Amino acid sequence: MKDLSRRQLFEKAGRFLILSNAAAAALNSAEPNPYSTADHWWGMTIDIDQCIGCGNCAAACQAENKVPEEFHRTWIERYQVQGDDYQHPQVESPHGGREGFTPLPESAAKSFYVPKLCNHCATSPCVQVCPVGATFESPDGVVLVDESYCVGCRYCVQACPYGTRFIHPEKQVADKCTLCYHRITQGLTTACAEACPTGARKLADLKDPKDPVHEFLRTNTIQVLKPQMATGSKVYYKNLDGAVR
Amino acid sequence: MFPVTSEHRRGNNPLTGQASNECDPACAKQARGDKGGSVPDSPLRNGAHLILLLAALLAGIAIFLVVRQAVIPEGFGLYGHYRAGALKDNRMKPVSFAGREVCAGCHFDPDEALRAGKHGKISCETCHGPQSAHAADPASGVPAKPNAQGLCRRCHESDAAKPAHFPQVASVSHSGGAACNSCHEPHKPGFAKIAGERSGKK
Ligand code: HEC
Ligand code: HEC
Ligand code: HEC
Ligand code: HEC
Repeated sequence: MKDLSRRQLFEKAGRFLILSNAAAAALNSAEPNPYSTADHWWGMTIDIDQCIGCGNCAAACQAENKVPEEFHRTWIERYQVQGDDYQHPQVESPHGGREGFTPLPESAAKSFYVPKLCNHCATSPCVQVCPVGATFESPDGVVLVDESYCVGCRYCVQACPYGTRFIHPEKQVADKCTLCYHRITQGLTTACAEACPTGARKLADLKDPKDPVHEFLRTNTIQVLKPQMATGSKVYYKNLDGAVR
Repeated sequence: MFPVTSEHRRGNNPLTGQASNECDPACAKQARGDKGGSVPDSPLRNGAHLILLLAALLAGIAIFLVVRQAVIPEGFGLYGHYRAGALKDNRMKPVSFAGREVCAGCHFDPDEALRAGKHGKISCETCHGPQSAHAADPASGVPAKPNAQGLCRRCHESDAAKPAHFPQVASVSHSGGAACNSCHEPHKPGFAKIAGERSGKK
């Protein structure tokens, strides 16, 4: 074979990359409705001041994604903070809040609801530990699982700082929130956001300049969960209390 | 690739051309001049070794490629360290919640009523449950009417953990067990319907 100079090699590699990208683009457009992963960067906003703990999001998620009983892709926690005891908040989440909560009587404690789900981290620990490449961040910013390729080793379940993953009891593969990838890629919102009566949780496309998420982030007090872990979380909480873990 | 000569066998360093102390320059010269190319240490024989080595290497690479082909799924690495088809797999899941626009396309009145009231931002399927099957084919089944009592209370029952600005009632004292929708219209919960009949009982 003819020797390749370094320059020639780069040229050839470049051409190969461009060609394979073109093939990928052709593949995309062959799908039922054209959707370009390059045009989106998905996340979610959660407004603590709006959440009434009705549990419709958790119930809708279960119905939409056939989540097995007693497992949760999204759930609601009710926090109670006594006085200045921020270290030991009392947290409860019966059935993930799917069936709502028993009403809490007025008391001296501060109390509020916190919906939780996969944070769709941009530099996710779960993706980094997967030994086979079965969990990954999609080009549009959603952390997904390849069910047909997952070996069920549970590393990702351990690695997730937010406890959002579980092993599906029947399929024996890692299972988690997909941010309703099957819905958002065809112009629908997530099931949880669809079911939320107050707009406390909203799907956000950070690449869409017209998405209200930009205004939301700019004009409110925003926090992500466990910021010290630098996971690049894309679930943005408005007015999140410091007691929340 | 360096040509293999008898020098190698005699301990010459092929990089520097310096003879090692196993064979001094005179001996090397002698080897080259006098005995070069003759049996028993023929360069051809060593060439055969090399070819064997090369063949083994190629076979190894071939086996590696075959095994790799078999083990690594199609499309792996196209977009990143994962199977490209997994994106499509995740997209192909069925949808259960059709979305409000779809319902409104047929149920014009409830949508109108809803928009006019305080429940205006609530999606139909928040109260009626996932109805994509019904929306796709209404003849397939009529959705059951929601049980208003449990439904309303889940959102409106007084709870200290709910934000204070959200309208809440202690149902026992508020309605004394009467069905919520006997006074409130679920799609338009304001007081138009009850204003004339009752005077602000809380
Ligand atoms: C293609 C038109 C169509 C769409 C879309 C549709 N429906 Fe219907 N729906 C009907 C028809 C027709 C009936 C009446 C069926 C009957 O009475 O036999 C009905 C009945 C109902 C009923 C029961 C009414 C009653 O009197 O008890 C409910 C509740 C309902 N639909 C909710 C929904 C919701 C929620 C959606 C959105 C997901 C939806 N529908 C989308 C056509 C539609
Ligand atoms: C706040 C909860 C809620 C929302 C939101 C809601 N519904 Fe209803 N809907 C009810 C309840 C409760 C009933 C049953 C009323 C009864 O039993 O008399 C009902 C009844 C109905 C009926 C039966 C006919 C009637 O008017 O009584 C239809 C059709 C219907 N809803 C369609 C819709 C559609 C379409 C939407 C969205 C545009 C919607 N609903 C949104 C709670 C809701
Ligand atoms: C899924 C949650 C949900 C359900 C179920 C629900 N509501 Fe509401 N309701 C809301 C929201 C959200 C508002 C708007 C609150 C606001 O404007 O801040 C509201 C507003 C109201 C209001 C108006 C309060 C005011 O200040 O004007 C009344 C009355 C009411 N609902 C009654 C009902 C009744 C009766 C039912 C049962 C048929 C019901 N709601 C079911 C979420 C719900
Ligand atoms: C006997 C008729 C009646 C029944 C039954 C009834 N309500 Fe009401 N409700 C009213 C009236 C009247 C008001 C207006 C009260 C006022 O403004 O002081 C009201 C107001 C409300 C409000 C608004 C409260 C606020 O602070 O703005 C909510 C929420 C509400 N009702 C929910 C319910 C729920 C949930 C049920 C079922 C458990 C229910 N209602 C049953 C008559 C009724």
